[in-house]
Amino acid sequence: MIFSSFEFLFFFLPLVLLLYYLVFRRSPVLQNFVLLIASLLFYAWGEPLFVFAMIACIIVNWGFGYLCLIARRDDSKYTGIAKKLLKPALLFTVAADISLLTVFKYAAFFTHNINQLLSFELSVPQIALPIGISFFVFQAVSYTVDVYRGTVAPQKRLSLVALYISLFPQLMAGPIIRYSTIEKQLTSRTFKWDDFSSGFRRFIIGLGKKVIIADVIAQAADMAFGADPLTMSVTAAWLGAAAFGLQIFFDFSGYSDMAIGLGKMFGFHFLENFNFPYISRSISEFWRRWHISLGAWFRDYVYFPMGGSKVKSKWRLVFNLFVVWALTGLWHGAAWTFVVWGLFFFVLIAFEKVTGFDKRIERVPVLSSVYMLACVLVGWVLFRAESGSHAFIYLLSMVGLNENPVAGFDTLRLSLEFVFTWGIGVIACIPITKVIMAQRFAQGTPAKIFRWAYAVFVLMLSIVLMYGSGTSPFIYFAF
Amino acid sequence: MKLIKLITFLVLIAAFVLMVFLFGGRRLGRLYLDVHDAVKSRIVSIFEKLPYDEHIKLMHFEYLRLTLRSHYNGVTILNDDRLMLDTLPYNPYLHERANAIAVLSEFSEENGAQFLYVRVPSKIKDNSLIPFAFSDNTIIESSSRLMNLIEDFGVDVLDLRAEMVREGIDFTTSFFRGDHHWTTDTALWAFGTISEYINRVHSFNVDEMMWNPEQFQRITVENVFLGQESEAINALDNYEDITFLIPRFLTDFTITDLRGYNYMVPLDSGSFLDVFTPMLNREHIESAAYGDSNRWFSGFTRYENASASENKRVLLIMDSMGIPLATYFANAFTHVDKSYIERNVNHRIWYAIENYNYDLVVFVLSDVVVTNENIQYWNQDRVFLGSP
Repeated sequence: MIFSSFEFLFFFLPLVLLLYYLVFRRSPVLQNFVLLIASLLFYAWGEPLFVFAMIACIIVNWGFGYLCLIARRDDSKYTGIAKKLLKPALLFTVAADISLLTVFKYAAFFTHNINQLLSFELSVPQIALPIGISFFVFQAVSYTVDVYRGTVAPQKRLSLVALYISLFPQLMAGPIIRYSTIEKQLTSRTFKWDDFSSGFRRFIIGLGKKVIIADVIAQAADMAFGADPLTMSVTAAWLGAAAFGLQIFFDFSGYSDMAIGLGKMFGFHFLENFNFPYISRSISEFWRRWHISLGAWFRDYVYFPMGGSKVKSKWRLVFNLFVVWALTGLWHGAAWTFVVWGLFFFVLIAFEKVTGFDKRIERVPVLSSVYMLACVLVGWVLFRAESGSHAFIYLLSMVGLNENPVAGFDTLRLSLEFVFTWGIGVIACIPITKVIMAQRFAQGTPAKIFRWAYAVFVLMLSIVLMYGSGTSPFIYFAF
Repeated sequence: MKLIKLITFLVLIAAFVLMVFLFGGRRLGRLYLDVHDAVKSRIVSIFEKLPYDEHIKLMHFEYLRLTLRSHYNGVTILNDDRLMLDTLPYNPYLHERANAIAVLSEFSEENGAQFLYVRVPSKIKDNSLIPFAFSDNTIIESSSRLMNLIEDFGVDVLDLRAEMVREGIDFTTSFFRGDHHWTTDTALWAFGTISEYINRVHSFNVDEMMWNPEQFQRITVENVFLGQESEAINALDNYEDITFLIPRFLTDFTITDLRGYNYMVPLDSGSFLDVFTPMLNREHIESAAYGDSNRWFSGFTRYENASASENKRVLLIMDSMGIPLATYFANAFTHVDKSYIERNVNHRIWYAIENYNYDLVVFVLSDVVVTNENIQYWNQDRVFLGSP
């Protein structure tokens, strides 16, 4: 089930809210139960079989936490055995989580590459990729590792661990929530009308980002990437990359807004996942603003354990960055284009870190923006292209090396046809509306009326567009 | 104790799962999936059509216009607000297609049938009405190039686009506003032009009455037809009239569906009014306008008309533009086989030409499908040996 579907908007969400706030409002335990069942049903809607694999994953990770609980008790005769089993159990649990991801997401990719490299003829498994697997597996791993490290206390109740991992607002496409963020909220949440209303409006704005901007500009991106890259004009190639840049930003940040908004409606406060990444002035800054929860996850569970930037040699630093970015690319998809995309950013970030280029370029406003945008757009071409050769030819067209013209009818199509969406998309990329809202519409009744009127307008328009053009899945569902 | 409880709990879960899979897993699993699918499809079906469905769709269309869109969902909105199928990219495979058609022509002649390629125009006379950003559209150019290649191969060609221009026929009223098909009047004119040509060039003797508009009773049903392009972009206030042309002269049809090589299924029999216009009611109006609304999905249909004056056997290989044409051919010829190009397989065409003793094979292709990758062409193994 996706958020931008009528089944969710008019059936699932109202039903869950009704049960949560009206039927079971006096019992926090039952409220959590409602959320848990709703989350499992939400996932089972699209993955009726794989939901059991998720449940198994939850049980295994909860089991490890329970073992930690026993290991830390002073008054249990099993403490000694539990302590001895801790490390093997940690390895087993993390391996089980990663295996789930490996089997469903990477088995075909690895088999295919082994066949190519070693001239084997292993049969390539055809396994459907379960939605959201990369997100909830990473959440499960983060819970397990944090419990082991002692960062968070292990949760005795299976239902709360299940709720944390499967909570439907963030289950399919993040943000990747740390258990520490949500630990207290799982057992004590209070209803505040301000939180509920602001959460509802945030949800609607996220829906609008997806339906009004992302799905429309996606048509421009599809036009550009579906055309013959050899003959497309230089400007059309750049416009196509920019279109995809807007598409993926509004698709993903829209989903995150919806997830954060939904969480707020139920009393949860998730951390932000995007912070206007396209105003960044370096690649390092871009990745501090884009998909923040994923960057933080790799930082805390891969980069820092490897030593991070506090290593003795620059080569070791470079190696650490290489591992992180190769894994980041691979996380996004089981294809070499994604790995190359990740390594492309490795090269840029390593360069910035080793030479201090990011600190210097950030002082030059326009140049830094041009540098950042150019690099990011090149990265999006690698990300979006159908294949390595397609990406290569497309990139050559971006710099006119295919003897392609500077501009043509394709430029007009990609610009004029979507001029309205370009306009609101570009404006929505910069925090100007946030600043205006904060200054002029922060408080008071007119401000409230304006905010609600705006939200209702966006909701109505989103429904019209969804109904007229059908629903489309979120890009990051595929990860 | 708690550790024992934990281990016991995990073992029980594993055992349960194992038991389910070994002993009852399949049945249970199937039941679960059936219930899941039933519930899901029921819920989805409830929300497939919202209240005020048409109003919401119309609002979507208005939003497209407000945001200055001229191209959406495979449809281009022309400068005069008529709707056109998407502009098509330049097709590099035209030579192969021309070759395939030339091969078919050669094969037809080897089997005693004359062959005629008919080029059917799209609804634009030139690119002037196409929005500027899409005016590198190659529909007309590609179709002309294909036709010229076919002609270079020595195939007999009739260009209806050139004829329409020559006779000063208005393109804007010859086709539906919100659909790519031509009107029944235009199709009748096309039949007349083809008939005059085959009378002149191929020594046929099609009676002029067969395309004389005065020999047809006109029944116009107003505001019943929503064209494919109108529907695609939710222009739901774009309903159009459809005119049925019912011959005043005698017709006596037997219609058969050909399935496989020689397996024939009787479909219908009676006069033109009986078999081609049973759907003079709202639910069944489609751009084809004629009774083939229910049968146009058939790959191969036979029309036999005992009252036709021209005792000849004709094979029409066509796209959907040929559907009303086929009925006019069936008025005139005793035996017309209609092969719908997108739903036929190549061996039936070859088998038919070899075995059904056609006098004439007419290959009718519209501009809009020339570059359609879905069109199957014939027997690429056989290369045309004549000089291009």
